[in-house]
Order: sequence, then structure tokens, then C-alpha cells
Amino acid sequence: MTVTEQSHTTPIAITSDPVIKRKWRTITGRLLLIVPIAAFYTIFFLWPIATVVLRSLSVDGKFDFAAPAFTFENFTNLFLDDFLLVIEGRTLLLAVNSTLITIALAFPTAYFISRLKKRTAAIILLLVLVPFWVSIVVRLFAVTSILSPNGPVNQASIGLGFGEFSLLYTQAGTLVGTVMYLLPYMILVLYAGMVAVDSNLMLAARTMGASATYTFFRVYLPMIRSSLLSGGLLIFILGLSFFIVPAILGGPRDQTISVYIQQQIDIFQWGVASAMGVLLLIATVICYVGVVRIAGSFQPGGVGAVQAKGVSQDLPFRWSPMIIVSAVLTFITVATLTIPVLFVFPLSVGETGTVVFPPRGFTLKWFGEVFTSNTWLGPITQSAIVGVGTAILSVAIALALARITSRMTSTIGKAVIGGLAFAPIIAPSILLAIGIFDVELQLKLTGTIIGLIFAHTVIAAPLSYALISSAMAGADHGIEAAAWTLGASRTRAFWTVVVRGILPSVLGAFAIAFVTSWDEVVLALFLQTGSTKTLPVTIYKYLESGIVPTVPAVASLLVTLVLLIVVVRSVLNTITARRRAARWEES
Amino acid sequence: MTTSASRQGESRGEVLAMGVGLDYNGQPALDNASIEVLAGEFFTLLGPSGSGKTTLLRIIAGLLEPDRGRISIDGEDVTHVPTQKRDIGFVFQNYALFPHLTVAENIEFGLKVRKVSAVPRAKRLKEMIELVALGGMADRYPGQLSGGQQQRVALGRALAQRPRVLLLDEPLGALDRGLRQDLGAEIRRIQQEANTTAIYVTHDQEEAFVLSDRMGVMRDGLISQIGTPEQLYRAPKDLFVAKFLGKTNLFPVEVVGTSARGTDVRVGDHVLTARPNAPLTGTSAYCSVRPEQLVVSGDTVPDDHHKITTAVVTDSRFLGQRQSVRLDASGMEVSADLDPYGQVPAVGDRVTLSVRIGQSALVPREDA
Repeated sequence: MTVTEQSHTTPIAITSDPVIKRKWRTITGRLLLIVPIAAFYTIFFLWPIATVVLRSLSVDGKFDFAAPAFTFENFTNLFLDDFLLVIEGRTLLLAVNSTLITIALAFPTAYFISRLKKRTAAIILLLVLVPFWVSIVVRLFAVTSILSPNGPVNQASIGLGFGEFSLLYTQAGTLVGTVMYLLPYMILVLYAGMVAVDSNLMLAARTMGASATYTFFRVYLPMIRSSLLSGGLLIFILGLSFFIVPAILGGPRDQTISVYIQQQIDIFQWGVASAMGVLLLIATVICYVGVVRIAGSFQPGGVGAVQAKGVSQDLPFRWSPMIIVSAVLTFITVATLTIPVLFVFPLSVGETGTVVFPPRGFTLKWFGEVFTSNTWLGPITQSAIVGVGTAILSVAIALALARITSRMTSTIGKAVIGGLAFAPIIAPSILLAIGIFDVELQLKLTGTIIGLIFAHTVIAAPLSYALISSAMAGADHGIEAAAWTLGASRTRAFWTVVVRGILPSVLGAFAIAFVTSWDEVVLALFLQTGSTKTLPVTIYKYLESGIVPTVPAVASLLVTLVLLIVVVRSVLNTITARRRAARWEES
Repeated sequence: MTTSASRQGESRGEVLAMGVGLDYNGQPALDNASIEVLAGEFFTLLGPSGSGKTTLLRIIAGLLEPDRGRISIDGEDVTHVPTQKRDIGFVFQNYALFPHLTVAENIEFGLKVRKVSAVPRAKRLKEMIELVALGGMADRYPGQLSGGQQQRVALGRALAQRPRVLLLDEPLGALDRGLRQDLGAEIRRIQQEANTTAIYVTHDQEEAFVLSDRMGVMRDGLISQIGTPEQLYRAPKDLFVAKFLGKTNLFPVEVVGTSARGTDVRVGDHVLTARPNAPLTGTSAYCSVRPEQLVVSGDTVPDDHHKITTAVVTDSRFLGQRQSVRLDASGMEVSADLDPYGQVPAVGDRVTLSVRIGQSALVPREDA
């Protein structure tokens, strides 16, 4: 008899999960894990949202538990007040336009990359990913410099005789900045969908006499429809509640909803602001349900699903008009993404006290100043502490939660926990920011480091959980039972076998939580009341108030850090791949 | 734990399962299973998929908790003792080797857990590497080994801390046929040398025959019969065991009485004497005659044999070790294995079928 003939009819719960032990003890064990996590999510996620909802339904946004008085006035205002309608219209327009432009650029880019050879594709993907990993504040700083009146764009325009051309503090500038932010997300989602397409299907259509155009619209497009729609909805959600870019590039008069909310909360006017927050939340939930339905009913193409190239590379690469157009658009996309990132370097070496392009003279003194003055050392330390704290807490939550879900047999239970775990990253960040701000004010946590760590963990833990839970689900369940049969205690088996076995994912979960916290602006902006703020918030403050020469130096250092990590990672990957190959040859 | 107290040459690890049962979704996956495995014995649980054999093994290992019944090892009730305190070794079907540890580190795992100090640990590791014939592989990772080598590592790892009982869950299931025969013999050798009790789960009766001192045949969550391979083969208690172990011809018979050499049954016009079978009640039964038991002759019945029926040869094939003959006994298809060096009937010959007195088995009829 061969292996294939064996069927395993031993009940699934028995073979897949060797842990069916004293049931009440299992339940207590699970409760011990889940109660603190549930409490954490209740305090720092559910309560913040609830408090915003309650405020939005109260007169002047002041909810009183002793004498609750509800009104829909704040919501009716949203649709009656001319000033607010203008803001809402502007926000919607920005979201729609940025979504359309992003898709128009991302689609040909993703298509072009998906048709390239693996190696070339990897390089261009890297050019998309590096800007993605560089903090949005840093990129924003570069964009303001490029677009400023003495920046290269305006100077070129004057030099060529087109006259003054300034996008800074205009809606067009906001649009450019938002598209720049959204592009990597859309490219990654589309690319994942496109590499999964079997190119033989296109060949089959061609052999049946279909034209190239017909094949594209009737065969190719339907297969990536779900990626296109779910990716489009995803970036629409992001664009709708985007805060940082409109706040800096839009200027104070052209507010979007998020910017208006922040302005109102600054003067403690909660009523309309919380109603707007709730409106954003409702729009987000509707779009998200759309994403789930599309991705659920078709093949989902998630950001994480960029695997080895699929079969589409089998289709020989040939320069056709379509490929040429794609290549040109890819070039524009990559330029939009990389130029701002590289632009910080020349800005950082000028000798003058004001930041200008092209730089005058050459000096490295600003870098020295970064490491000697408290202006930057304080924020760097603050960011590092908050980042590490967030990472530790996130990994702990992710491990516990993944442990529970990997043991669960009910699919509904898994779906509920998974859905709840991911809710914080879908919620509009401005809503979370004001909600957590409100809650932490009551808990006297604002301005404390631990308060910020808690807030950052709310949005970082889901990402860590995604990594760890998929690793745990993919791991061999047998090895844990094997450790028990060898005499290892439950604790020992869990740490030395289960966790050790998925160590790369645990480290990845740590890194992603750290980076999330390190780059986070919106929550940090609200929750830090003291004089020392995290690094991105400090840069953000300088963008608001005016740039000093150390800002480009810090920006360059941050970009260099990302580049270093990318280089080290790819070198390490090459080494492990080579070592693995060598091992195989030897055995 | 008695790891340090154990000495080579002393057999231990008597396993007792009493009325063990486990329900799954309201249905018993295992019901009223009782086995007694003697110290040092090689015991096999044999049965088709879904018969509950793996469930019973996992209950003995403590990886599943039974709903009913008790388990004891060496007289100690371990029903509620967690796996890690049962002092057992377990070989998983997919080996479940730790992928991040080398061969040596895998084998040492249980010793490190038991805080065995470096010198005896290195000595034991060396012994185990030798025992499972993995010299030169100690520093490799499981991913760099072939299936057979991985299987040996799993065996070495399970035996390193001298467990009282070695439990094996279809350890050869993932290997191809040739390798399975070699490794099967090796498992038996290693078990004998390590002087440990072994409980082995398989669905392959050939494996079970080669390895076992005794075995239990399982079906639908129940243990059908326990005995030595020879007992089970020669005297199956029921139809299932008769058919599951090897091929057989089943002649419907009526019980007519008992004689000095066994139970007398009538098949057609003839009466023959078969092996008595205690659970047999009523008069209708099957007489189970293995193909190699059937004697094919002309008109005469050999001495010490009883005639069963006459038949016509429909097919005759030379298979090397045996001559496989198919016959038609008034509508019933019968197969017989004959000595290819003796007289072999030709297709179309009318022959007499007989069996040695008192050697054919009787099993109750059942609708299965």
C-alpha cells in the first residue's frame, strides 16, 4: 500500500490538536490568556470609539453619565451647515480623485512589474517598498521642499518661462501628496493579484481567436477584478480619513474632515468633531464590508500575499504598445515615489541656515548637531523607548491570541477573534486618536510614555498577530506533542519548540510593531502633551512651524536607516539561500 | 521518574488499558478497549483507517484523555498523568522532528529536559547514533535527511531517555515499500536491544506479522481479537479478522456437532471437522479456508483430510513462490495456492477440494 491510499478518518479534533485535556482547566487557561487582552482592547479600542459615539450624540459633545441627554443635532449639522458641507465635499473629492489617480498609476506599474523577470521585478518592487517604509513625515518634508516657491519645481517653471508654479498649500498639492502615500499599497495589492494569474488562460483565449484587447478585457481583467476592487476600496478608506498630508500640504484653510476634527479637538469642541469621526467610521465600515465581500467571494489578493512569481512570467516579455505605455507610467510612479526620498540628501548638506535647493556649500555639521543637541536626542530616545515597548507588548498579545486561535476548533470563534483583532487597523486613525485621547485624559495617561505605548499597541498588535498566527497555523502541530512525549513541560515545549520554530515570524512581528510605532504620527500627536515628543511628531511640528537645517539631516538619517535595513536583509537572504543550496548539494 | 534507576537487561513498561473509551461528536471513536501489554513485549494494534487504533495509542501516551476507563503503566495509574510525566517515547507518523535542531540535538532533547549532565549525555547520544545507524549525520538538520533517515532519528529521539514504553504511530507509513520492510526489521532489532516495551500502530498486516509478539485487531472503535499473529491467522474469532488478515475462502456451513478433533460442520453433502470457536452460537457459520490450506486433488481425498466440495479450474497462474489457481465450486469462486513444483491442474479440470482435519477455522456469519 502506498501513502496516498491511507485516509485519516481519526476525528480531526483528535489528530490536529493533541491537546484535549481536562476541559475545565483548558478553559481556565484560555481565560487567563484572553481576559487581559480583552480588557486591553476594551479600554484602548472599544471604549475610545464608544466615547466618541456618545459625545457625538450629546449636546455640545459633552456627555454626562449622570444625566445623559441625547441629540442628533451634531449629525444634522453635518448635512445642513454650509461650511461643514464644503469640508465634506472637499474630503470626498480628495478621496475619489486620489483613488482614481492612484489606480491609474498603480495598475500599469503592477502590470509592468508582473511581466518582468524575477530579478528585475524584485529591484523595481524594492524601489516601491523603500519609500513605503520611509516615514510619511519624512517624505512629506521632501515634498514640501520640492514644491516650495524656491524649490526645484517652481524654479524650473520660472526658468522655462511658465511663470510662478506653486502647489504648496493647494488642493492639488494635497492630491499629489496623498497619491504618493497610497501608491505602494495599491501596487502591492495589484501585483499580488497579477502574479497569481495563470498566463496559459490568456494563451488559451488567443488560440481561440480572441484579439489582444478582447483577451485583456474579457479574460485578464475579470481575474484581477477582486484585487482591483478590494485594493481600490482599501485606498479609498485610507484617503478619506487621511490626516497628515492634508494637514501639512493643504494649509489651514483647505481643511479635510480629519484636519477639521483635529482643529476642533484642539479647542475642545467635541460635538461636530465626534459626529464627523463617527461619519468616517461608518463610511470605513461600509467600504470594509465591501472589501470582505469582494475578497471573500473571489480570490483575495492581500498585501502579504506577494509570493514567488506565479506563472505569468512564463508569458514571454515582448515590447508591445501596451507594455511601452506601462513602462512609461511605471517610470513616473517610481519617480514620484523615489525622488522625494532621495531629495532629502542634498538638502541636508547645505551650509546655509535656511534649507535651500540646490544646497550651497557642503557640510556635515547638521548631522553632528543632531547627535549632540537635545532637540533630536530626546525625540530619538523617546521614539526608541515607545517603539520597543510597543513591540514587546504587541508580540506578547499576538502570541497569546495566536495560541488561542490556533487551538480553537470553532471557525466562528476564530473569525470573531480575527475580525476583532484586525478592527483597529481598519478604524480611521483620527477617530482612534481623539477617542484614545479622551480615554487617556480620564485615566491620566496622556503625556506618559506608557500611555503612548498602549495606544500604539492597539494599531501594531494586529500586524504582529497576522504574522504570528499564520506562522503558527502553518507549523507542524505534532512537534509540540513530540516535545511532551520526550518529557518537556507545557511551558518548556511552548517556548523551546513552538515559539522557537516560528522565531523568524516572531522577530518579524517585533520589527513590524516597532516600525509601526516608530513612524506613527497621528496618535502620537494627540497623546504627547510634554515637551519631548517622538521623532515623527517633532518633524511634523517643524513642518508646521518652519524647517531648521537639522530636519533634512534627520530625514536623511531615517532614509539611510531604511536603506541599511533593506540592504542587510537582502544580503542575509542571499546568504541563507546560498547556505541552504550548499547544504542540499552536500546531502 | 525512573530514568536513572533503569538498567539495561531489565524489562519494564507493562501497559494496561481497562475499558477505555472516547467519544467524538457523540459517537464512540473508541469503546471499551482493554489490552494488557507485557513488559518487553512488542504489541501491535492493527486495523483499517478509523478503527480507533491511533486514538487508543494517543490515550496511552496521554495526548488524549479518555472519557471512560483507565490506563496504567507498571502498575501505576496514569489516566490523569500528563504526557510529559508518563516516561514514554513516541514516534509520530510524520516523525515530528524539530526542524530547527540537528540530529544530535533532536536526540538529546529528552535528556536535556531531564537535566542529564554533559558527559553521560554525550555517551548516550553516541550510543543512540550507533543504535539507529546514523553515524556521520549528527550535525545535519532534519530537512537534509531522507525519509528513512528521519525515521531513524525519530526512533533514536524517542529511545534516548530510556522510556518505559515506546509508542509508534504508523512510523513506516510515509515510506516506500522496500524501505518499509528493511526499517521494520530494524525497529524490531532496536526495540529488542533497547529492551523496552513497544506498542505499534499500523494498518499493514504484513508489518504487524513481521514485528509483533502479539497483536490486537481493531475495527470501528472496538478490539476484535488479541493474540499472537499465528493465533489470529489460524483461529480468527470473527469474519472481520478472518478477512482482514490475509486472503481466505469462506464456505457457508451448518454446525452439526462436535467430535474429538473439533467441531463438525456440514458443507453441501459433506461433513468436515474444523477448529472449534467458542463465540460461535447457532448453527450457521462460515468455514474459513486459506488458499494455501486448500488441497486440490483428483477423485481421492488425501489422508487426514476432509473433502469440502468439487470444483472446476478456471484459471491457473505461476507466481514464482506459488501457483495461484482459481476454481468454480458450483457458482462460488475459490482460490487456492499450490506448490508450483508439484502436480498442477490444468484449466477445465474437475477436481476435489479438501482441507486438513481440524485446521480450518469457523467464524460466525454476520452481515458485513
